[in-house]
Amino acid sequence: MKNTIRFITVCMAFLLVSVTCVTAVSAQQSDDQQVAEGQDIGVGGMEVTHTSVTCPVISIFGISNTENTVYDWKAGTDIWKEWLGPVKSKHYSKSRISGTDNAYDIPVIGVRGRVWKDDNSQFDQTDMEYNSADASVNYQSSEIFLSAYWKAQSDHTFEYSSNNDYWYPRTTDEEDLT
Amino acid sequence: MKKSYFLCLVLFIITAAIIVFCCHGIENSSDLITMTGSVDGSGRPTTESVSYDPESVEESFGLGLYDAPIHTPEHSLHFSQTCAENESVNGYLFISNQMTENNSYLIFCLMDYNQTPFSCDSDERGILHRVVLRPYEERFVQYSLDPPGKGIHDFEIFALLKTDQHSLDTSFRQSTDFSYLGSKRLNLFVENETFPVVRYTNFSSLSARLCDPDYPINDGILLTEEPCSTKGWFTEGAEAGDVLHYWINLAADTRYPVSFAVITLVDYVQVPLQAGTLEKVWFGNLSVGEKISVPGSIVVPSEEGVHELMMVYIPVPYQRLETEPGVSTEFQQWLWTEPSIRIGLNVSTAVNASRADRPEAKSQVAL
Repeated sequence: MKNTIRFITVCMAFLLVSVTCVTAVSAQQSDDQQVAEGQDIGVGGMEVTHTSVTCPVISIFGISNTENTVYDWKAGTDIWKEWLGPVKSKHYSKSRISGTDNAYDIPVIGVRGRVWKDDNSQFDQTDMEYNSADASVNYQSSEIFLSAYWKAQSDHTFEYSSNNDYWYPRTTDEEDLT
Repeated sequence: MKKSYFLCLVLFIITAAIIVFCCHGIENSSDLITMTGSVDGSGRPTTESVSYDPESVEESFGLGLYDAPIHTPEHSLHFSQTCAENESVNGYLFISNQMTENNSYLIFCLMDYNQTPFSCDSDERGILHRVVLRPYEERFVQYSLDPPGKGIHDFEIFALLKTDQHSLDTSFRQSTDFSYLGSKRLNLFVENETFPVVRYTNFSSLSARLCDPDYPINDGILLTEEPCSTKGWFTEGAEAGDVLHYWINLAADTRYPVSFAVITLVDYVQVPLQAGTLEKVWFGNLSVGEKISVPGSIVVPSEEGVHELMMVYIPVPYQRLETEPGVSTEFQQWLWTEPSIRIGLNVSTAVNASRADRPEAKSQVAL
């Protein structure tokens, strides 16, 4: 009986250690994938997605022709503090073929990112690209020990004039280190 | 023996708790809510879906200018319009409210950077018009302005969100920074192909200060109480009729020069940039990395309550915005109009009231 209990205890301990390790590895892989996809890389963040359908085009012969390309526009902001590291933020606008990570160039894509530390403006940067699928700006604080309320805000722009599609979302994220 | 059972039980509970916590965490990381957009009255497909946490997103809308209430590229005005000399400026503003809630849009127009009365749908002519859209509603709003005269004009139409909110809460005020404003600008050609020569303001003559090159603002605007300050200005207690002074921080980017126009709005109506003057627009150009702080002032509104003060930074005035219909001119600087933080002016008339209570004041009123 004593051996059985000892066996069960060892199994439980092994399971616990295994789950902890697997979880840690999964979390690391998950973060890597998120970085690759430009989604959340911090402890929260916000991403919004806009999926579009190309409008029907009437040809000169009066025959309806629908373009099939469907694209996703993703806009996001993420601010986080690394362990014993600086506060970082990422502000991005992305255009992708829907459901994939393949770039879908549009005439104009842009993002403006601003970061506030309590009531003080810390960072303000723009990135505007023509005929591109990506725009992004990043911030990293110069200090490491920072007790403050941090807020990151982004203004995104997606313009696809020939498809009549315009989108101007705003995303925010915050990190409370008070 | 009992101790071993107890140890087993504790280990089991901890393991189960960790598994549940981890699974929950992984699930949360991909927790996106999908919303399906609307189809307009003609059955035309528009935005198919918007995915986000509706509790978090406060601003998501689209704008376009059209020559008819038809949402096709052929009817888009893109960035230019041609009018005859005595022809009214007519068009349709397309608004797509890509949010889960009703939203009220306050609309105004600038013709050559001056706020101009216009008619909107069936409303009478006025400076400001309000349009309310339901969740995911898309609507054309017809506008009409008087003929602006021969020449090339810059015309811009604005839609402002959350104009009925007057909270003095700092987080709301901070959230208004470069937010809750969308606009579309176009060059209006009225029997002329020559752009006006822009008279740029000499900011030195306005006692402008030069800010450090590492001042954090780039290609934008920040209103503050002190020159070149990084401390945000969100609310102000003010007395009716007083002159309120502040600083307008304007900055080029560290990578490129900028040209811009700036205007001041009080309760969303354009006012002079400095109290006691008539100028309602400054045109500026700053070289790479140049950052300045210019004194601004307004006369505080006479009515008690919370009023809204904001400025608008409009890039590349009087530049050809498209090389051909629908093809944007490529500029180096950020191309979209940015609003400043909306400063909540908490206006009191206490001093005026106490003055009015005095006998000499009453006699002046009586006279």
